Amino acid sequence: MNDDEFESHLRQQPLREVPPAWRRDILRECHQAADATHATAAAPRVAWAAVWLRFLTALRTPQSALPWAGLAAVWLVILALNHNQREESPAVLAQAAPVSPQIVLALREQNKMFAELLAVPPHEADRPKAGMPRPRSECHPLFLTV
Amino acid sequence: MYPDLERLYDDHAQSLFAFLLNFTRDEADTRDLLQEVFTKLARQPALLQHVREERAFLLRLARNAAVDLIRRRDTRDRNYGQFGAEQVALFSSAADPDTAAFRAELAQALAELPADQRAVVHLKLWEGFTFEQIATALEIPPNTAASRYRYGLDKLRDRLRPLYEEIK
Repeated sequence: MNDDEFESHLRQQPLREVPPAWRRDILRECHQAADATHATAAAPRVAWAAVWLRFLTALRTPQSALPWAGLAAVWLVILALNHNQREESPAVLAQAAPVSPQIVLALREQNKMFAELLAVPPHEADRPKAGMPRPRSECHPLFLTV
Repeated sequence: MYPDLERLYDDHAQSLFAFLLNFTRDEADTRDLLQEVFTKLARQPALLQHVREERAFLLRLARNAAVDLIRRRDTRDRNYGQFGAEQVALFSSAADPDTAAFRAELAQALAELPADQRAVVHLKLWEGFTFEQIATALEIPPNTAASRYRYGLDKLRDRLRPLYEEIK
């Protein structure tokens, strides 16, 4: 049995055709699904547009004071928030202000007094003490040769 | 923007139908899966935006939908390979009794192949796909596609040899 012959014989067997009635049903359901998807995606936008349209229409009607009152309330809230923010600003700046010269002088005096009490010159107060352990990197090992 | 569903259906439904029928061996499942594939395209038109080979892409969608169906029915059909073991009229009917007998035997022989081999054999023989195209459609390496085809064809040849020699 020749391989190519067998394969080509298999290829020649015609497959069944798709039932013609399926086309109409499948495509109808597809279009319905597409429309439903499109409507679902567009629904929130349509709802917002309707709300805005209703609001703007109400503003144009002189008898209806409610939309104007609502708009005024929104502006009041915005102004109040803005005013509160301005009031807080100087306080924050005051906290960040530099220390006064009197306080600096008082601190220097206090530092000098501590230095005298400990009998250490003020400029040597920051120098590390001899008894304090040094960092390991500064240690030099002592080698004894016999 | 809606895809041109009518054009897509006319171009590809026949191939998808034959592939799904051979894969699932169930006409009702084939109908449902075909519907599922086209509905997916209708809902997500962007799916086809950067597709170079529509047929291979749609066959992949169909095959994935069929595999999902198998998984959903996991409690009923435990073995993935057993899916499609039922008898179904896969080929057109023939007036000649020998031809009709060969087609019936071929359909049975295909049903006995594991689903993975059956899919590759179908795409190679009746879609005329290259192994690269089969690899794209079934998301497998081309070498795997080639070996599955070889195994599948060997089984078909062993099974159909007597009948084929008789009618040749």
